Amino acid sequence: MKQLAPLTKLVFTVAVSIWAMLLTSLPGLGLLAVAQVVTLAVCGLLGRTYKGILSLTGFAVVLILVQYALGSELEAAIAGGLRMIDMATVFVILLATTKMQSLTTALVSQCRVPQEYAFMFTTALRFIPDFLAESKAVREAQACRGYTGKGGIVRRFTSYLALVGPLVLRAVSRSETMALSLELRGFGAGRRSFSTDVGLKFRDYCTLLGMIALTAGFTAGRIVYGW
Amino acid sequence: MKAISFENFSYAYPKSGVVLEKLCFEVEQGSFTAIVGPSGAGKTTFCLAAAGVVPHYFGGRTGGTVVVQGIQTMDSTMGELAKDVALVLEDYESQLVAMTVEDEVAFGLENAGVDRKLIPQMVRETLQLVGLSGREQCEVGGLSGGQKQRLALAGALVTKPDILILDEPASALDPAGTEELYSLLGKLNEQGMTILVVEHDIAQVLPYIDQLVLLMEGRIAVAGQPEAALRKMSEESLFQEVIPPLQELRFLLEKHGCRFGAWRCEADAVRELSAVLQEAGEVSRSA
Amino acid sequence: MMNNEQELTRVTVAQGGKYRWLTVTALLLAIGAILRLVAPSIDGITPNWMIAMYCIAINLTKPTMGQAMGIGLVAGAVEVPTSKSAFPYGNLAAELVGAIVCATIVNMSFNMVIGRLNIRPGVCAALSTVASGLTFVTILKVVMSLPMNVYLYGMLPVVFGVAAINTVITQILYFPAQKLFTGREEK
Repeated sequence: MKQLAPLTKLVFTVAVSIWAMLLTSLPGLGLLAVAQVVTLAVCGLLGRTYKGILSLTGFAVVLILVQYALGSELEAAIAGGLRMIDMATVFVILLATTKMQSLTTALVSQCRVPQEYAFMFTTALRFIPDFLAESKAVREAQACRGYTGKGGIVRRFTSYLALVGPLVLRAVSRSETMALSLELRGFGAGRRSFSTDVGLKFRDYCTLLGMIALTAGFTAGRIVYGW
Repeated sequence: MKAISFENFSYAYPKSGVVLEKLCFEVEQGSFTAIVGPSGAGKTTFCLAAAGVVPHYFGGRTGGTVVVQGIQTMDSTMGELAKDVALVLEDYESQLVAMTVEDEVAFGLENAGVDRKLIPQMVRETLQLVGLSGREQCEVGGLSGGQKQRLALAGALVTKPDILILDEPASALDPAGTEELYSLLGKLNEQGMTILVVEHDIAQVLPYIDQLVLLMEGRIAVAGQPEAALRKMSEESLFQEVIPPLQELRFLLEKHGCRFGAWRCEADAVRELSAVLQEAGEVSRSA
Repeated sequence: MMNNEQELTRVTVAQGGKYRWLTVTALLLAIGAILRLVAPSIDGITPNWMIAMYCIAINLTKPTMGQAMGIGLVAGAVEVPTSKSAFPYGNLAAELVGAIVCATIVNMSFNMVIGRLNIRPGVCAALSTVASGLTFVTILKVVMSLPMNVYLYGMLPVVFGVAAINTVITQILYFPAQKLFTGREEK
């Protein structure tokens, strides 16, 4: 899985979602979920991702119970939950096996996404740890000044905004330096090259063909046999 | 050809008074210039002007010219100038935009359309230069302040500019980090790169620079060889608080007839001072 | 300090700011993402910070409709890896719709003022949050074939509650941000 090109995995993500919509039987949906977990295990990624999968499952179970409690049929409720797990797990696979940079490179160079949006995406992710540290610093500073986050709703609301306000203002002032530095570093000035190789290889074409075949099979199954 | 020359250059931001006023100033190829001055003197704007950010990015009002590597900045663009001049701003954290160290350094190369096959090698060399080898895959967000500073520097150096401008690069570094940074800049300068840096701690840059500029209220108050410039600052009581104590001492002793060679670092100072003390001791003994 | 001896030429066309919309949005989305992770709820209702943040970004930068759609999709995409989304397509579609609604309101030519107070940011946040929330729960309902009463009584009230709180947050946070954003030339 790790060796496949990011584009193939993007297609895979969409394909699994289509399969999840095409399949209606409980065994089919269940099998799809199991197959995905097995894929993660084979890639040696289950250790890193099992928490996410478990919380997804927990969420699905809650949804199923709520549905059942509100009077829908058990089977339909379970099918809905499984479908949700199928669709979410494939994103876990995508993110666990693909570097962000290869993903954005594939989106820009192969899917024709304008590079501004790829930049926006990776830069937002890049600043998350920085802002987390800053929000912690702001909270500590405010704890010193006696903001506790307890008390009436208005009081908690104010302390909330006292945390977010400085972060937002920092972001706005930082954006100037960043915009300036983008121009200084020649962003968007001419034809861009990509340091990551995301070209499709033989195995990618095979995988893509396999996915097309499966999709065709599921479609036929649904129409002809009403799976 | 001068690396940078300001001719009667003045500038005002769209909503401000005049920030730089009639600057006449030249930077030689391959030289190392330090700029000092009180806050609000226009040091940052000065850096921005030398990279064409002023007036291109902000607009505003301007007079006179700035010529960088033979190109008039007014007639060029920021992108065009970026091939010759690299600028590391004071808020270096906001200049880091990629998720990993490697991607960050490659960013400038990718923007310039450099062939993919050449990029890894250039990234590796630059990271080695700034002492971040082996951290290619690290997340930018997880680096320390000093490492981020060096990464920003790597991002600027990787396109091999002729001129490197840094605005207060040491403001967030500890003394050891500052020393490391300047010895790196000194090395780059020896290799022929023209360097211009805003720094308040003159003692740190003194070993490396060959020109010192004091900027006050948008004008050049003093400019010249570091020795002469410091002496003038001391004599005319201009922004005296930044003159390194050892240099002050030296000027004081010289008033009493002592003679010294050029001091560039503490070691020089200690050697010459102890020689003088010894001499003085002998004189007093023989008297 | 103005010296009258030298005539200064006005540089009218500033090339700068070409990417300001991009950088300010990227940073605000990062804040939206961390607040989704760390911010506690107020009496059981958690504001949707991501929507609040892109509403502020869109109000500040007034992007084209195309750019706004991009902002929405990126906002949705950022939510996927950062908050262990149970329903990624829902995020993508919901934020896309939210951003479109927001940009539409921002680009409307009539004034939205009460007295001297510009309430456009609040209006944007209210309608974007409702639109985005409805999109999310509707897609969830269709994909999971949820029964109508879960949808009507379990989900819709939450959407409106979040919208109310988002309106207040966005309206309050917008003005200081805007002052800083437009006051950039006054160094």
